[in-house]
Amino acid sequence: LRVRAPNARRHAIDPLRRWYAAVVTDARHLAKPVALFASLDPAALDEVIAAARVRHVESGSTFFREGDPADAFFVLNAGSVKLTQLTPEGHQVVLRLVGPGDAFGGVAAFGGTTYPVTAEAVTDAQALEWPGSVMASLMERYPKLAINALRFVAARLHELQVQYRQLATEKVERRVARALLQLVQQAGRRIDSGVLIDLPLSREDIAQMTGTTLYTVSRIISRFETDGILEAGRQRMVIRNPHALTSIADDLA
Amino acid sequence: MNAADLVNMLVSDVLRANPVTAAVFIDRRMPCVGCTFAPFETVAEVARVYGIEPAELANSLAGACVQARGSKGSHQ
Repeated sequence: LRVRAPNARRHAIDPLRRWYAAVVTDARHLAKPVALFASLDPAALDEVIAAARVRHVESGSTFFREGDPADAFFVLNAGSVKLTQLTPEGHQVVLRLVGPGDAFGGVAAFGGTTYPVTAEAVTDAQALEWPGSVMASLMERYPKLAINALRFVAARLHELQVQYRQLATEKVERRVARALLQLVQQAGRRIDSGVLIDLPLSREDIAQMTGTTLYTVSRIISRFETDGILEAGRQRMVIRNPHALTSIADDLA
Repeated sequence: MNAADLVNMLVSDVLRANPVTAAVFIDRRMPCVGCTFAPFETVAEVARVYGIEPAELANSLAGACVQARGSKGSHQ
């Protein structure tokens, strides 16, 4: 991702763009580059960024709810967001965790009328927001943006296919191990005793991610604890033996 | 990069700085390349898990780096 460095000769730099340039050029602030902006030329990127506004959402609040009119498209900059759906019986299902650099609310740019999911901030979150119609016309002007979006959609579809296969065929233990690996990828932080999943995630959340019950997840996590694979507290999990967990996830054990 | 520095580097940093080192992990049947935990564990830590002396693994990794530089040089 190329971002023009703040130019000393330009006196008035749009504050949002300056903030964004600071964020994206500092790898510590952005774990992953924004795939949607890959190989856009700097002038196009400037225009895309200038059309966005920054939206902050506190932990526990939502960017949008399932069924709301789909009028805005988002790229997450900081924090974590979970995308959930409610079943007719009132159970919440976690479909995906969105991390920095990921887009969400894509239906807004592609003509959807309502959001199919709820986007809830799991930690304090900050995102760039575009009105759906604005993002759609930017995509028409800059086809690269549209191709990047298509890549993103294709990757999501692939992920869903894998998830579907896992749900249909894999042992629950392996699904839980995989979910934990995914969480490590998204929010892992090295601490003395191992790798901390730095997210306030409950066993109920993991149950929803793996399509199983709280009871089953609790049983599996307790077993992982007994085996010294992890240490689980309330809303806190430390992976003590990464190799054992990876072996279970990859079914090498 | 010398072996003494490599021992305490994160596996993902080693692989990023010197992609040729991937061959060392693969040859030793260590699934470090592409592992979720590569950004969290040092060369010494993974060596211990696989029952290898940390210094020995670091030496192999350093050796791969030197060899890669050498073969690049011979084409000039």
